[in-house]
Amino acid sequence: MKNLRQKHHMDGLTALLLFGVLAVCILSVLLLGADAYRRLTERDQTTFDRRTAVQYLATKVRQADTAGAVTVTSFDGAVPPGESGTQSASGDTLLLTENIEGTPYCTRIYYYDGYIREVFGECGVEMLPEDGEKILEARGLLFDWDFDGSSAGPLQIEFIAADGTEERLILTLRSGGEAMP
Amino acid sequence: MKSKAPLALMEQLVMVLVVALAAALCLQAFTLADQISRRNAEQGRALTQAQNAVEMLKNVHGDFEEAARLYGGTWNGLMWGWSLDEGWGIADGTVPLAYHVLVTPTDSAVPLLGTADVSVYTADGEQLCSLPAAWQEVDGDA
Repeated sequence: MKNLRQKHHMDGLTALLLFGVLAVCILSVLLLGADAYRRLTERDQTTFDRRTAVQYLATKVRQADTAGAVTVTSFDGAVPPGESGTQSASGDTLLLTENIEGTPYCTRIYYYDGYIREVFGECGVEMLPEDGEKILEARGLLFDWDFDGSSAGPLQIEFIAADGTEERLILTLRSGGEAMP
Repeated sequence: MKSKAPLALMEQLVMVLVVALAAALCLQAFTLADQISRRNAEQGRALTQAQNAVEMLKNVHGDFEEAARLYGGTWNGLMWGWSLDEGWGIADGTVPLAYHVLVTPTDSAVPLLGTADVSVYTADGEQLCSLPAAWQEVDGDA
């Protein structure tokens, strides 16, 4: 009688142990799945943001690529002085100019407060960096454009994604040297 | 009265086996998804590198030596290439190489039209992307 009770006790323990293994197994798979899903979505989001930023900047420049319409400047519009011998423009803002019914309008693309932003308005009208429309989350955006008297070099864009990784984008303007600031 | 414990034990054992099988399948799916996601991220960055090379070649009208001087990498007379580290920065030789970009001039068979093929490879030699480049060459007689 005592042996039989002991056997039943052991059976119960084994069943409990098996149930424990099952619970651990399910929990592990769930945790692994959640972690994998988090990593994938984060990576995919970063990839999407980076690719979108690159394509957005390239498209904006291509759309505005006419003589004198693309300029690198600072947000307040002051163009940094060129170096002696060659000219160079570095700045935090890409200024795209277009004429609409005889009035010049400016699109400024820049980084401010954690976002790439865009602001569109009549040239000469004072605007603040916080007025811009938030386009994409980022950590930084810089423009650099070297050119000498005869031809423009490539427009170089340094984009720092939200995860801190840097992306360098090179663009050659079809309007060439005439599109210099 | 006969105990039902062995039956319950068998049921649980089968359940554990089924869950273990499902877990193995799930892990396989997670690994595959991770590989695809990693590959997509790599392809995105490889494409930007290839686009940069194309834009640089257009800017210098196919002068590979000048392109290498401005952007980086080396031109050996046959191809322009550079290596990148894990973070997609141009490798300086102190860190392990993860990717390679090779730009090979091709024959366009059209006068004053320069063409090249830009390819990005992993360190294992697997091709991530390939882009054709074309530009108008400067006529020396003009």
